[in-house]
Amino acid sequence: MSEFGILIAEDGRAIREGRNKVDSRRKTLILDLEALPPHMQINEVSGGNSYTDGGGTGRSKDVLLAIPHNLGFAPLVDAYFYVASYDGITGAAPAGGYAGDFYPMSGSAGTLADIFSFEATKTEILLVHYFDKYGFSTGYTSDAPKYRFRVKFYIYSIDTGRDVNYGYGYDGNGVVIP
Amino acid sequence: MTKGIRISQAGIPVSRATDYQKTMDERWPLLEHSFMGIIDIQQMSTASQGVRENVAGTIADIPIFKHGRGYLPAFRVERISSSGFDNFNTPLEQSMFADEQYIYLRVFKSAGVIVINAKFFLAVVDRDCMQEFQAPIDIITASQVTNPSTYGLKIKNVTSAQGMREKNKKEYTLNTNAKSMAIQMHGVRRADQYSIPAYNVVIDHRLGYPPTYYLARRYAQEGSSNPSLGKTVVEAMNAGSGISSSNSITMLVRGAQAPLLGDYMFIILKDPVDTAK
Repeated sequence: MSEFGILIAEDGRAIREGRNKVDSRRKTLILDLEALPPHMQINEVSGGNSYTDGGGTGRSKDVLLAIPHNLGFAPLVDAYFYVASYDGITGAAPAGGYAGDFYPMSGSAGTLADIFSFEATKTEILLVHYFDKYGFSTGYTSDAPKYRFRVKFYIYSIDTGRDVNYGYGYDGNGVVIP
Repeated sequence: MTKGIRISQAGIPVSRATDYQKTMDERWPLLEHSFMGIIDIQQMSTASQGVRENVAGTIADIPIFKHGRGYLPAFRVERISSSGFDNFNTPLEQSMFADEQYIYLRVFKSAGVIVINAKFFLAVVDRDCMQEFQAPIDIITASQVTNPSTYGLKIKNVTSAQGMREKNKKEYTLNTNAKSMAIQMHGVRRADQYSIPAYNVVIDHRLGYPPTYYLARRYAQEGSSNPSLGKTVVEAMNAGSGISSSNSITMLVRGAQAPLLGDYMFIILKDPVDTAK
């Protein structure tokens, strides 16, 4: 740990008495405000295509937005998926709800997964819709196009060491991504 | 104006910067970490010292990182690779929990010794977020946006050849051309049938907008075949999922696919989910 930086003690204490209020040697979740495209953004996108579970297994995937980050590694990301409207209505559920990392849309009930999430590669961040069929032939049709998401994401200047940093950690068959 | 150090992001007068546009403000802490980096465990045996096994030898709780904080820490895990054990198709972050000294990996196995490998990104927050804390609220509506500048404050957390010309912001703790996430409040809330609404985590944040946040379940290890029976632990902040909603005062979090039940540690950050300026 560096011997340089800023230390600010808690009120009424010296800097060597217990935990300091501020210690610049401690790492933070930090992102670059000079980056272009910005590493902190809000984008509005629809939920993707309306797939139907007509049998079989596997993933249908929509890439709804791709934004380069130019970091050269798969970064740590926080993403929040806010439902701005559903079927064009802003005042009715599920509008107003939000989730981090991934948003499970209404069909996600164990027999399939209908997911809105992100993938952060070494070059770009993707906003994605997954429709994963587990082989139950439910006949369910995704209502993804009715969703309008407002996505806030933070691309931190922190290397996760992964090849791809997935917001949703399962493949198209419900298996944890190895 | 009260006393203390205030530094705003580049291009924004400190008197007009929102709380979340501050590079540093003594009144609220940044989300600081005691550890942030990659852990690479190679060829670790379940016969190692400190590993807890049940009587049948079918479950092992392996201490994989000593955080040593003395409290249940907020932590986050991103898996890179793992092998040599079965955790029943569970993401690595959901197979981990922390007590007051260690972060453990739970593995399922046949009776006998196994050897595991696990490589993952780990971040451990340097703050007891089980304790109640709420920062003051100053300015919440942005009137100006950051305008990066060649002037400003830069504090590094490592020494490197590039010095203050280093472009990668991860080498800085404070930088007026960067943003570090700041804490509005933290503590523990219970979700059960008595919550209003039932089975929701209810947090009065009073920020005026839907906030960014983390949530982690605190629970007691139960079950007669549990090698950590009776221990109170906390799961990783990214181990669960929930759907949130918030007005200007109160945030509700409900389970995405199952009801929330039990105690949840939360960290509300200063940042809004609906503003990017």
